[in-house]
Amino acid sequence: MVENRGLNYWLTHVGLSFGVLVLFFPLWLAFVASTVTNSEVIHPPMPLWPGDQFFVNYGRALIEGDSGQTSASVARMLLNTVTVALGIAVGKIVISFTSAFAIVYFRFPARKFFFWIIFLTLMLPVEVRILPTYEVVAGFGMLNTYSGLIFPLIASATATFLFRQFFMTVPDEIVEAARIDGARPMQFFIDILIPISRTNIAALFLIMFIYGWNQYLWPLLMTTDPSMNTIIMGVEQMIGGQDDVTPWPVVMAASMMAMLPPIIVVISMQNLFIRGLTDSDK
Amino acid sequence: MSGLILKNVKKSFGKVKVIHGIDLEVEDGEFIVIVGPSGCGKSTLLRMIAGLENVTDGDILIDNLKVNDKEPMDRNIAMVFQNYALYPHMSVFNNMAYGLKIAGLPKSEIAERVRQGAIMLELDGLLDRKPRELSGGQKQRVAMGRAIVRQPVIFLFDEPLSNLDAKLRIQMRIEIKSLQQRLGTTSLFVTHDQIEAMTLADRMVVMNEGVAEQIGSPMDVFQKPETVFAAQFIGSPAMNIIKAVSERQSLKLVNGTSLKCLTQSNGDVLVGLRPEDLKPDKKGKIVMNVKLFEPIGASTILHGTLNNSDTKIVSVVQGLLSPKDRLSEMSFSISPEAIHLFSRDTGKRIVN
Ligand SMILES: Nc1ncnc2c1ncn2[C@@H]1O[C@H](COP(=O)(O)OP(=O)(O)O)[C@@H](O)[C@H]1O
Ligand SMILES: [Mg+2]
Repeated sequence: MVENRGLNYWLTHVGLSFGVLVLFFPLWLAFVASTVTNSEVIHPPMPLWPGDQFFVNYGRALIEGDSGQTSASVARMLLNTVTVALGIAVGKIVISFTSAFAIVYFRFPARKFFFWIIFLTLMLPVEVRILPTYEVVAGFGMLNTYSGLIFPLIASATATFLFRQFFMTVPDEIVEAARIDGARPMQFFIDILIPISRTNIAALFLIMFIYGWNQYLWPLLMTTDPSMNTIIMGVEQMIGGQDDVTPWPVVMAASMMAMLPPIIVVISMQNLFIRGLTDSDK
Repeated sequence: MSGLILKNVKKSFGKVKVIHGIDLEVEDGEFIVIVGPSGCGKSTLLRMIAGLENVTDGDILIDNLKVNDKEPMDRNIAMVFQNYALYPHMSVFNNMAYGLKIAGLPKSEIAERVRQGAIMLELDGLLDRKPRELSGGQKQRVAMGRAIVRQPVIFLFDEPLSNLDAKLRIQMRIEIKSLQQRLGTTSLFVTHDQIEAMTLADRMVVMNEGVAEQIGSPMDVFQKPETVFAAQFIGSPAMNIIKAVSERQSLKLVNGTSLKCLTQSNGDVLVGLRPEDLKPDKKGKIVMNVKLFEPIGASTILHGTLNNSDTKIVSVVQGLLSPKDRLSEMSFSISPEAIHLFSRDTGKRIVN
C-alpha cells in the first residue's frame, strides 16, 4: 500500500484533478459551442458557459443535419454508423474466431502457410490497399451500401492472433475430455470454446466497435450518397466545403452526439472488458 | 472373456521410439496399475488405449474388438486426467451430463445417472456449483463422476491423485479402490508412485523407457522382481544392488565378503538385498560404515557404504536407535532365501 494520508494524498489528487481539467476543457468548449447561437461562436470572446440554444441546435442536427447539402441528418448518420460499427465488430469476431479455431485445432495441409498469410495482412491495412479495395467493391456494385462499408474492414489478423493465443492456453486435457465425451469439432466449438472465450470476445468486441465507429477514410471514399454517410465523416463534411458559413453550433451538437454511443458502450462493458484482458475463466 | 488386450503395441513420435512393444491381457474387472518413472511412456500408452494417440504398430482390443482406428467416444472408455480437465463454464451437473447429452440419452435418464453418480461420490450437494467453486478433492470427484456416469467398459486414470495433498491422496486412493470394487469395472491406473501402485493394483505393469519390465501382482513384483529395475523401483527404501562374483551357491561381494544363497549361478552377477532383510547381528558378515541415521518413527533408516568399498547400501532397523547403539560400523546378516540374484549382462533375475 502506498502512502494514502497527508500531503502526498492531496498532491496526487490535485495532480489528477488538474490532468482531468486539461483533458476535459476542449470537450467542455465543444459542449458550450453546441448550446449557443452561431454568431456567439464566431465573434470573440468565446463563451465559457452554456447558452439557451441546446434544444434548437441538437434538434436541428438530429433532424436536418446541415440541411441536406453534403450530409444527412445526425439521426440517419448515427443509424448508419451503429450498423457499420456493429457489422465490423461482429464480422471481425466471427471471422477471426473461426480462423483461430481452424489454425489451433486442426492439422490441415499448408496450415503454416495460411498462418503466415494471415500474418502478412497485418502489413496491409485498408489505407495501403485502398485503391484496389475500391476497385473490387465498385466491381461488385457495393458502393453506397452497408456491405461495402463493412466487408473490406472485417478481416483482422490482430484479432485472429489474440484468439489464437487464448486458445493455446486452454489445457489440451479439456479438448481431450470433450473428445472422449464424444463432442464433434463444431460441438466443442459451440458448447465449450465460445463460452470459455466470452470475456475475450467481449473485450475484442469493444475494441472493434470503437475501431469501426472511428472509421473515416474508407467511408469518405466510398459513399457519395449523403444518406449513407457515417457520423465521423459526416461531421467533417458539415464543416466548410460550402460557401456559406459553417453552422458551428450544429456541428458541435453532432460531434457531441457522435461521441455518445462509444462512451455508452465502453462504460456498460468496462467490467467485462477488464476481465477479458486480465484473467481468463479457466 | 477379456476386457482389454494389447498386442505388441508400439509408439513413435516421428523418429523417436517411445513405446517398444507392450503385450498385456487384462481380465474383466481387473485393476491394473502402470507404474514407472516420469517420461517412461505411461501416459502415451494410456492415451493410445483411450484413442487420443494413434498406435504406430500392434493392436488394441477392447471387448475382443480391434479399436485401433476408432474414435475415443466409440471405444466405451472413460478417462480421468491429472489436472481434472473439467469444463470451467459448466456446473458440476453439466460437466457430468455433457457426454450423455451428446450421446442423445433422454433427459430423465441423464438426470437419474448423474444423481446416482453424485450420491456415490458424495457430490449431491454440489451439483449447481462451477468448478472454480470446488476444492481440489471435489474437482477430482467430479472428474470421476463424469467417468462413472458414462458406464464405460474401462476406466483410464492418468495420475489422478498427483495434484492432491498427501492426506487427501491417501483418502482418495482408498475411495477409488472401493469404488472400483463396487462397480467391478476394468481399470487402468497410471502413476509414478510405487506405494499407490502397491496398494491399488490387482496386477501392476512396471514400465521403464517404453518397455514393460515386469507384469504381475504387487507381491510377485516385490518378492520376485524380474529385473534390477523392477527390484529397485518397487519397495522403499530401494533394494541394495551389489556387484558380486558367484560360484554355484556361494557369492563373493565386491568388498570380498562371502555369502551363501539358494540360487545357482557362475560368473559376474548383481546381488539384491532389501534394506529390511538386513538384520542387525554382531556376528553378521555384511559390515556397513554408517554415514547417516534417519529416524522415521517406528524404524530407523541407515545410510552408508559397504566396508572396504564405495558401494552405497541402506538398511532399515526396527525402533529408534539410542545414541549408544548408533555405531559408525554395524554388522548385518541376511538369510539365504532373501537374496536376489540378477545377471550383470542383462539385468534379468537368475532363477533355477
Ligand atoms: N506429442 C508428443 N510428441 C513428441 N514426444 C512426445 C509426445 N508425447 C510424449 N512424448 C515423449 O514420449 C515420452 C513419454 O512420455 P509420457 O508418456 O508422457 O511419459 P510419462 O507419462 O510416463 O511421464 C517422453 O519422452 C515424451 O517427451
Ligand atoms: Mg504422464
